[in-house]
Amino acid sequence: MVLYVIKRLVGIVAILVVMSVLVFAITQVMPGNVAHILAGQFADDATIKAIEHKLGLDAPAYVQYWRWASGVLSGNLGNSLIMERPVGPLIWDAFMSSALLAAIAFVMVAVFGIVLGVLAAVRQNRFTDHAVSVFSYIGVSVPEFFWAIVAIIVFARYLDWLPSGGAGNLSHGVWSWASHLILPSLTLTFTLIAHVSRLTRSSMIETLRSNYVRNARAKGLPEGVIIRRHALRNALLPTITVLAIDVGWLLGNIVVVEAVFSYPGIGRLLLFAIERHDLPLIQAGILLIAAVYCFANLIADLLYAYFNPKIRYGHAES
Amino acid sequence: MTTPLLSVKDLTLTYQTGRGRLRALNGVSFDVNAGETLAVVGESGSGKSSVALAAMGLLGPEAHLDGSIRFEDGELIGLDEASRRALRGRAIGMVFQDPFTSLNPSLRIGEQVAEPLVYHQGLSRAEALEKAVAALGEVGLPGPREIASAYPHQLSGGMQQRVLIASAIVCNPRLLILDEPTTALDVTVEAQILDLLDNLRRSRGLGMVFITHNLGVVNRIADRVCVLYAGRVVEVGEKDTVLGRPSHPYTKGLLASLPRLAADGRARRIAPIPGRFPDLVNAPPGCIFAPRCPFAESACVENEQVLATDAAGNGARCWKSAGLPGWPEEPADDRNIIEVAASREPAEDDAPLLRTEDLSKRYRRGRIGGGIEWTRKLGVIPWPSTRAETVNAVDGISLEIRRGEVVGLVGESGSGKSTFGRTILRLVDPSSGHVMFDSRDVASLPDGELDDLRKRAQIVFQNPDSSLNPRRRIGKAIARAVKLQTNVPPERLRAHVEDLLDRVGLPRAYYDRYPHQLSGGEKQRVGIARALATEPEFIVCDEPVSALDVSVQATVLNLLDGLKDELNLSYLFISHDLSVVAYIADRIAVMYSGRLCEVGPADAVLQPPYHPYTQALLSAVPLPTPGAARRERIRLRGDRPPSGAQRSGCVFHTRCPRSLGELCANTAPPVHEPRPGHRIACHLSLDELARDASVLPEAAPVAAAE
Amino acid sequence: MPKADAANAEAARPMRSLLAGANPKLVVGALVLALLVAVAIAAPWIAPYRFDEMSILSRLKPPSLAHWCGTDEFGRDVFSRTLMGARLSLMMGFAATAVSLLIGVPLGLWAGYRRGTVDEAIMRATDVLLSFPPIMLGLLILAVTPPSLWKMIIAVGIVYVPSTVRLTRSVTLDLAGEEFVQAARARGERAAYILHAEILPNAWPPIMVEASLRVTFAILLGAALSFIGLGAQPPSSDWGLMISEARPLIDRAPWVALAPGIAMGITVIAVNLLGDGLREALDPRMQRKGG
Repeated sequence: MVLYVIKRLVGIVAILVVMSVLVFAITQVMPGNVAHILAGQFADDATIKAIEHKLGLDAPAYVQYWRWASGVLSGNLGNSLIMERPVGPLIWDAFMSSALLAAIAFVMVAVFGIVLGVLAAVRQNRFTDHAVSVFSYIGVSVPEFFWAIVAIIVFARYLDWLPSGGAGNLSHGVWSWASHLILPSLTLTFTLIAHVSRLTRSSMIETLRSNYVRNARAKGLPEGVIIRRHALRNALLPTITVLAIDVGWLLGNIVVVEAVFSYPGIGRLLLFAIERHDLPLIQAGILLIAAVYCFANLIADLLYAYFNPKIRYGHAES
Repeated sequence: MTTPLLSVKDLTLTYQTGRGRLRALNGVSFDVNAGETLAVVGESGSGKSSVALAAMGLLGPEAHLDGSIRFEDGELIGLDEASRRALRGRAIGMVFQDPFTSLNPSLRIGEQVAEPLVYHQGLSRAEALEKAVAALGEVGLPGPREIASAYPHQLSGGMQQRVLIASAIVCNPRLLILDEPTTALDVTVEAQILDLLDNLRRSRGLGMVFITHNLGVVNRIADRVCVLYAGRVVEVGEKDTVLGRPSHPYTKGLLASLPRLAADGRARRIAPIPGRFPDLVNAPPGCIFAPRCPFAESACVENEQVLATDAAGNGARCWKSAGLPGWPEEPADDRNIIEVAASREPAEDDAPLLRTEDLSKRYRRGRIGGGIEWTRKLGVIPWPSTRAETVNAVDGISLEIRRGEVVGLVGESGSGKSTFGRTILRLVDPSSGHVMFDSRDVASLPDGELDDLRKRAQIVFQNPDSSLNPRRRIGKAIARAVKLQTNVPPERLRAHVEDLLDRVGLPRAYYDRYPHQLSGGEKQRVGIARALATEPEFIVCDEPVSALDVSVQATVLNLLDGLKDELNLSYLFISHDLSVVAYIADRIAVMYSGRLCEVGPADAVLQPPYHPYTQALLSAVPLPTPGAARRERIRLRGDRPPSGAQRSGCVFHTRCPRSLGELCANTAPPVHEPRPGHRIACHLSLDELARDASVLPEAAPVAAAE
Repeated sequence: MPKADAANAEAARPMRSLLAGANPKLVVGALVLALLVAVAIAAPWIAPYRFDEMSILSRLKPPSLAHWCGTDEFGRDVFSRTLMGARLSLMMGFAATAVSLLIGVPLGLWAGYRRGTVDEAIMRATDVLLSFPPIMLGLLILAVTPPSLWKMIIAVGIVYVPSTVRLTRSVTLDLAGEEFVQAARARGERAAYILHAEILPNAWPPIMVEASLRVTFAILLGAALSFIGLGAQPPSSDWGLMISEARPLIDRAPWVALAPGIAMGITVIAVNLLGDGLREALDPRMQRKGG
């Protein structure tokens, strides 16, 4: 029996390869090229040709792709064309900053989303339910950059409690470092929490209506036990899948949020690279983000199977 | 007289709906004594499940209850939630209908059975688990300790139902309420569960309320019967009285509409109850059954009926009940004059219309991404891997169907009978083998060349709700089939479709209706009309009456039977219900786990010599005939067919009570032919098989006629 | 008598479906959205100023009777610009969703009904596309060409093709197993007929519910792309762009960002309500069975 994980890993690698070709193809048809940008507005053709030659941009597309791909296979992600520095460390630093932000937001989304969703389901059609529903509607209905701006106006300008952007440095103290993370991560959390809480609510309500919950009631169990032991475990299974999808949303929203807060993460770096057609940087950034997303999905599928005894212990023959 | 364990008096349940108050229960009264089983019988909509939920206090907040439910001198209606909870599971146990969804999929069996003990008796988890294991043993589960640590999906339906029973009795309740506990199960498993319940009642002195629609099951388990119709008790009494000498017209009608098995293999005509179930919001005045009652007169509509019981507690809610005759046969219009005997002898010399040779269909389950299985590497590290297995749904079936003949295909769930039906119509592509339709092999034809088969062979499905496109008018659905496969000119189309509606006994005005405006039985008639639209010679009837109430089932069966003679059709009639198959089929094929065990003329299959599986099936079928409850019963071990490696011999050997061991397990059984056309595949010799007595009762006089 | 009962039951049915249709979320969502669409269509006529009319004299004026939502740094009327923005935003949301349906639904139907290699190929392709977070895909597609509204609509539409394919496919898979589809096969219908006459009419409700929610995603994604400068270009009155332009002025003139932000919130909430209302009205489990 071939191992499931190996199959999935091979699948992920295949997706990344296809994607790198796709990204490469797109950058090939992008109007304007990096040589123009580097040479400046008034450069003559000869200068541009020279720059193109120096960067290897005059070779046929497949040769360029092969150069890049063989570099990657030997662990060399190439140099950023614009910044003329190795892509590896550049992207790694940005990625770690983003990962920190994303991790904080993800944990908050998961915890608060689930808690609010369960509360709303248990108090269905009562005040708590409606309050959670309004809260999540507002969060999901206005774009993250608007909340980011509102947060800056309120907390940075008027109240002056928190910095309006940039990243802190641990050498200036823990608070300086942490304070730069609060507004971006809150913004990310607020716009994503609705997704999780709404799904958790509907899944919980469905579970509370199920035959096995009715059966548990017929056994005379206290309502609290029914909710904790019988409903919650089953209701949270679909939430795992939703959290994986949210990783994707998070990675998308982070681009915008980093832009608003001038946070030096991978989103801002990628935006910078796309605006300047810096192919190696685009490739590395996109592939890294896609890889994170693919792994998140793989982990979600494995967790789902792990927490679902039906899958964990195989099916009965029917 | 002692006080009854449970006493329901004038129970009325109403819901507020958009149209007014819906009366789901209306003045229901009955008593249950300790050690006694009361069966509450009714068709869908009768309110029988509401009775159970009302007693448990599990109806939703929108339900409004009046009247009284007393349990051991305590009033249950209006009781506060905490006291109710203290009764539920401790003094009153309940078992629900669907075992597959009534167990929590993510908790181990042991925990689910043990938890009432923790909350009601304050036991520690370990003590509770010990008692739970004992209870699992008491309900007849092999290896209770292993079962306690399993998850629900690892058990079969029969085992799951036993677990539910164990969790209902683990706190020693005095009363057990069972809501259709065997309806979702196969008949051989149902028999095991009924035995178990009977033993529990005896050993523990339990009072039981047994809710069911199945009069055969009532006969098997009940002491007393309470018949519900449209939320009212129409008849109560001793089981033998109600089933043997019913007083209320509705009870008479129910019994008359049941096809019954008898030893001679001949079935008496069944007579359906005409009309539709009443609307419970605007209920008809007077007797609620009057609109469908053949004995009704104006007094029935004018006066509300009362339930009068005699000293023995027998009685009916009908002022005419004393002198009523039996339920009348269906009015004999042209279509229903049928020479039963003549139709049972198809011409032998014809080439068969359809013949399958060694037909097989295999599925593979589990592919990449299909399923993950976690195992533990080195005993600790959780390790995921994929699963895949082959399922032999149809495993080498050779069967022939002659022109004008009805072949009944009987099998339990998972036997592959539906797959077989769809494979011969090429709705499913066979894995190997041949399907000769009118001497032409259609098994390997490409999809584009099936026109002939598509016109001449049709199918009628089980589920009335899914067999019609909900967004299409009835008439259009039928017209489409007419247009596609016949030469009816467009200007004649509507009239032609209306003729077809006529033919299946539906009003012509139904042409413009949508499926949701029809009842289940009417939808099934539309399904039949649609199949007839292509003017077929052969129809696969895939459980066409299984989803219908008994009284409706009879009309559809009679319709199919009549159409066959009228249009010289051949049917493959697939069903899990032997009584129904015996009623309509000329020949019967018995299928188990993808293979045929026995094929033969209907009367031959229903009489010895039997295949051991046929014998077990026949003896397990609960019959409503008085006295049938006491006939000899053969019980099968377990409830699972063999898989993979166990399939080299007879597929029935894992459950066969007469298995010869190694031989049956490893060698395919030889085929005996006790008489021409009757084939039995079994290692036992014909003499041994022939030694058995019939497991069916002699044909009874028509009970309802008294 | 049975006839009368049947007639009663019949009469009751349309009433019940009317009641089911009277889902408050659905009604409120539909009304607000209708109003927004009307405003968007009439914007050029009802707006007090032209959306790109500059006025040096009235730069960054706070809200007043003359300028209900104030003016921006070029003295343009924020209220008029917001009204015009409704056109772009709604167009963005609905047109992009239409693009995703136009491409996604046929592919999903085909994959779900045909199964086999076609299915496998389409599903693997959606796997690849789904591995991009939505905004990345939008970014990449927009990077190819200079931004314009139509290109943005198509880009955002393509972003939501994979999820449309997935949903349509799974609905089709379920429906293909239904007995009325099997009956159509048994009478010899062609695949094209089965897909458009038997499956599609029954697949629409779940697809439309999803699509209505996707309209909000599309509006938000379009705004986000404009916000980071890859979508609508000045002097367009796209809400995302307006908020982006208002960013440097937050301290002095918060109203410039507020008006488009609130307008967007109202639009998205209305579509969300509509979608939720649709889901509840169409979900059979939400409807109580009577009788």
